Amino acid sequence: MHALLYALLCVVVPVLWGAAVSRLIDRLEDWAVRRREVGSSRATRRAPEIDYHI
Amino acid sequence: MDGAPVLPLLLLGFGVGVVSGLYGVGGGFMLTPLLNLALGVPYAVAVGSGLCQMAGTATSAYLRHRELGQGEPRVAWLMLGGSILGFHFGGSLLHELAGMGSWTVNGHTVPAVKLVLQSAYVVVLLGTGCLFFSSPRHSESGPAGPDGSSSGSTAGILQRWHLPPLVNLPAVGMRGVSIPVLGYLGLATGLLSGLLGVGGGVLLMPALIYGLGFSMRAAAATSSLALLFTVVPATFDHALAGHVDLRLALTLLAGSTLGAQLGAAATTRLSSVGLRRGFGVLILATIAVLLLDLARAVG
Repeated sequence: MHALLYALLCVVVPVLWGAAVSRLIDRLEDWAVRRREVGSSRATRRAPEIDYHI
Repeated sequence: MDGAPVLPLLLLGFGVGVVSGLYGVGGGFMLTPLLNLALGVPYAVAVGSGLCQMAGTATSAYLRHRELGQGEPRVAWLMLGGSILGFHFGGSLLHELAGMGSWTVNGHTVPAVKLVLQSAYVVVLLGTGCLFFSSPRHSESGPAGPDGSSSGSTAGILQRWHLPPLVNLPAVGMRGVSIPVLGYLGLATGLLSGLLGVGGGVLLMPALIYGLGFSMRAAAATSSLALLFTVVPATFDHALAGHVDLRLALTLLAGSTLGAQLGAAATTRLSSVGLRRGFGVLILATIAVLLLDLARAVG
């Protein structure tokens, strides 16, 4: 039983680790994309309006 | 492995992870010999622990390729039965070799398992390396499937064996691929996995590219899932036999999962020809290291 549990551990732990790292990196990428989008939308809002009817 | 230093293990794991993500292989063909040659890990433990590490790396690489929409999962599923049989035979054979003690060759005493396994590695890698240095024309030409892979008009050797039942592979634009052929491919990769501690990618990658006409990217993505299906039960089998050092495996894994992400993402930025040639160079470098060590042991 002890050997069986150890064998299960040797399989479950690395698979969960790999999935967790993959998910973490996906979230980091999503966060980076959102930051770029927020940054570009702020820059658009701050751009001065040009009055063509002087 | 109380004396195994952490930093070299982390670096080794990272390098193997990049190769794994880039080429859809487990990296075991490099990892197992390097664990034995560089860190003195017994071959049986290097095989088992390497497979344990590969389970994590393969999971990470497969999920990344799935995000990128690459690969054909049906191939991995159809190889599964053969893989299970294969790694069971391979693992039993390894266990027998490990119990054979040492042989005397040319007046030198060499562990039997080292002699047999390193010779087997050289033979397998030599065949694979030669294939990867051959002309890439046939797998890059012809009408491309959704994943840029070749269609049946420039099919590889294995695709011409129409042993029924047949299956279509829509993700790579192929029709009429033999299920028994995929099953036997699984058997061969499983055997390599159980005996040598490789994920089977060194055999599967050329089989997918030259045998079935996959593009390098589609082959790497497909191989990631097939690898996962092979190494998970193989790891279980080796752990039951006492061949897995979990601490060693997790240290390697810490480096390799990050490397696998980098490697998988890099496949979208590199050409298929460049990837293929790079893989060939890597394999031939591994062969050189193994031959030098064998020569030193028996010379």
